[in-house]
Amino acid sequence: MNMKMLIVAGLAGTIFLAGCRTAPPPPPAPAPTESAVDAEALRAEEEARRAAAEAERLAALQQRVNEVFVPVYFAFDQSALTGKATESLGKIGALMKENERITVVIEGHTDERGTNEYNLALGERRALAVRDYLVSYGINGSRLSVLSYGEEKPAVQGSNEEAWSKNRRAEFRPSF
Amino acid sequence: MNSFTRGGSPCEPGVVKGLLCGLVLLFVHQARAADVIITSEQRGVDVIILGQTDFPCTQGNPRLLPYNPGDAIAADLDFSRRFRIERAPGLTPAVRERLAEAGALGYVRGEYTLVGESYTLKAELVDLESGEVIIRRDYEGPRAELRQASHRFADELVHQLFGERGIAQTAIAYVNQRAGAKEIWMMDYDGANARALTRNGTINLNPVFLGNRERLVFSSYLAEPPQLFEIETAAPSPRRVHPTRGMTTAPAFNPVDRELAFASTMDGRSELYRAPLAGGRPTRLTFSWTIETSPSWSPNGHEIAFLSDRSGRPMIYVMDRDGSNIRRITHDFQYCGSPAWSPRGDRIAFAAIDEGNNMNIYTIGPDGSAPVRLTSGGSNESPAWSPDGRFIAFSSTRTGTAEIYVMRSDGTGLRRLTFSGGNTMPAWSGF
Repeated sequence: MNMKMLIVAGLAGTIFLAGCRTAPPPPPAPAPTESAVDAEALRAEEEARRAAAEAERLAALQQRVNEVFVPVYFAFDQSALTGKATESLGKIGALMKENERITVVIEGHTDERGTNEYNLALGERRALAVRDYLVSYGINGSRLSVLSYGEEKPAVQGSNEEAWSKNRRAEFRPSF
Repeated sequence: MNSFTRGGSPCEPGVVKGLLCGLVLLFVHQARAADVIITSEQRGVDVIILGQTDFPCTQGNPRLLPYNPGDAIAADLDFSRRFRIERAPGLTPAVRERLAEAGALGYVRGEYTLVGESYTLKAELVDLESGEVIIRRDYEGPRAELRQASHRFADELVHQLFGERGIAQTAIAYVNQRAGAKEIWMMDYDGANARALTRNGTINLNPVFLGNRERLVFSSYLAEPPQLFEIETAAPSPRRVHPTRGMTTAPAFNPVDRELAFASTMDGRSELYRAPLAGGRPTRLTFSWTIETSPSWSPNGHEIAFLSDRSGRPMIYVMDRDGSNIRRITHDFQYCGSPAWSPRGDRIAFAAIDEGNNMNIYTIGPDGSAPVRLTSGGSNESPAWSPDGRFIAFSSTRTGTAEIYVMRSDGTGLRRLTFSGGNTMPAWSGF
C-alpha cells in the first residue's frame, strides 16, 4: 500500500465513520440545562459585541464620510475645479480607495443667473468635472454617477453674490 | 346695407377679404371722407371700435357664477388689442350717439340663462346704424363651460372681422414652485382657471404643448436623471417619452412633422437631438464639446434655433433641421438663452443678460438683424409666443417674486397673469 492508497483508504474510513455517525436516530431533545442557557447567552453576547463593533465601525466611517464629502464650489459660469476643490476631492478619492463599498451620486448645481436650461447643462458639466477628477484619481467610474439640478435646488436663497457663490457647487450623495 | 357687409351679402365665417373690404366701405360710410379710405387701406385695420351693452341673466341666479359672460367677452376683446370696447348698460339714443361719435361700427349685446347645471348664452354683433344683426351665436352646455363659450364668441368676432384665429380659447402652462417642489400648472390664456397638472412633489420643468391645449410634454425628476414625460391635460397621468441614458430636458415640439427636439446628455455633454413624438431612435443634431440646449423649431419645421456656448459664452444659433448650416445670430450680449421662434417666422424671442446685468426679453430676426429689447425691471425669462404671434408670455421677478406676464410682441400692453409667486417657464398652447 503506497502513500496515496493510504490516504484514499483513510478518506473512505472517514466517510464511512461520518455515515455511521449520522445513521442513528437523533436522541430526544434534551431539556434546557444551566449550561445550555449559558452557551446561548454567550453566543448572544458575542453577537451583540460584534454588532456593536460593526455599528461603531460604520459610525466612524459615516463620520469620516460626513467630514470628507463636503461640497466643492465653482466660479460663475465655470466648471473648472479650483485648487481648493481638488484638495477636497483628493480626500474624497482617498476615502473611496480605502473603502471600496462607497459609491456616490455627484450633484451639479448652479446659481440662479442665466436660463434654467443652460444651468441644467452647466450643472451637469460641473458634476462631470468632479467625476473626471475622481476617475483620474483611480476611482472606478461605476462607483460615480452624476445628476444635475441646475439652478433648481439652491443651497441658499438670495439674489446676491454671497448666495450665488454658495449655490455654484457640486454636492455628494454617498452611500456604503 | 349694413356697415359690415359688402354688396349686401351677409358675412360668413372665413370671408376675410370681403370683410376687410367691408370695413373699408364702412370707413367711407362712417367718415364720409375719401382720405379715410386711403388711410385705412394703407395702414390696414388695426383696431375696431365696438360698443357693448350689459348681458342680463334672464333666467336663474347670476350669483351662481363669479363672472358675467358679457364681461368675459369684453375682457377678451380688450386683451386681443384688436378692439376698443365702449361699455354701456343698454342702447339708449344717447348711448348710440356717443358710440357713433367714438367711431364705433357696431355693438355687442347678449343674454344668458343659468338653469340647473346648464347655461345658455346668446351673443350678437349688431350694426350700430341699421340695428341689423351681423353675427349671432347661441351656445349651451354645462354651467362650468360658460366661460369657455364666452371665449368662443370673442374668437368668433376676431375671426369674422380680422380673418385670423383668436387666442381666447388657448391656455398657458407654467411651473409653480411650492415648498421645494416644482409642479406643472395650467391656466386659461387670461390667467383664469389656474390648476395643477402634476402633484408628484418633485421637480418638473419645461412644459411644452403638443399643439392645442390637450397634451403637453415636460421634463421631470420623476426619473433620475430627469427625462421627458407626456400628459393629457384633462387626465394628467405622466407617460415617459423617449427614455434615454443621461439627462433629457428642454423639449420643443414641431407640429408640422410631429417631432420633438430636446437636449440630452446620452452621449456625454449636452447635445441636441430630434425624434418622432410617437417614438423611435433619436437623431443627433449637434457634435460640439460645449453646451447645446433650448431648441426651438421654426414654424415650418425646417430650422431650429438653439443655445450654444461654443463661442465661450451662451449665444443663440440657428441650424437646419438636420443639424447642418449652423450660424450664430446674437453677438452684442454677455449671455443669451431660451430662443422662441415666432409662429409667423419673422422673429426669434430670447432672454439676454445685457449691460445692466439683468435678464431681459428681446426679439431678433432669424438672420440676426434688428434686435429689440422688450422688457425692463427684474429678471425676465422664458419667452413663449401666443399661437397668433401677437403676444409673448414670460416670467419676471420685477415685483420681487416670479410671476407670469403677457405683453404684445412689441413689448407694449403688459399684463400680469399670476399673483401667487414662484411662477416660471410659461408655454402657450396652440389654437
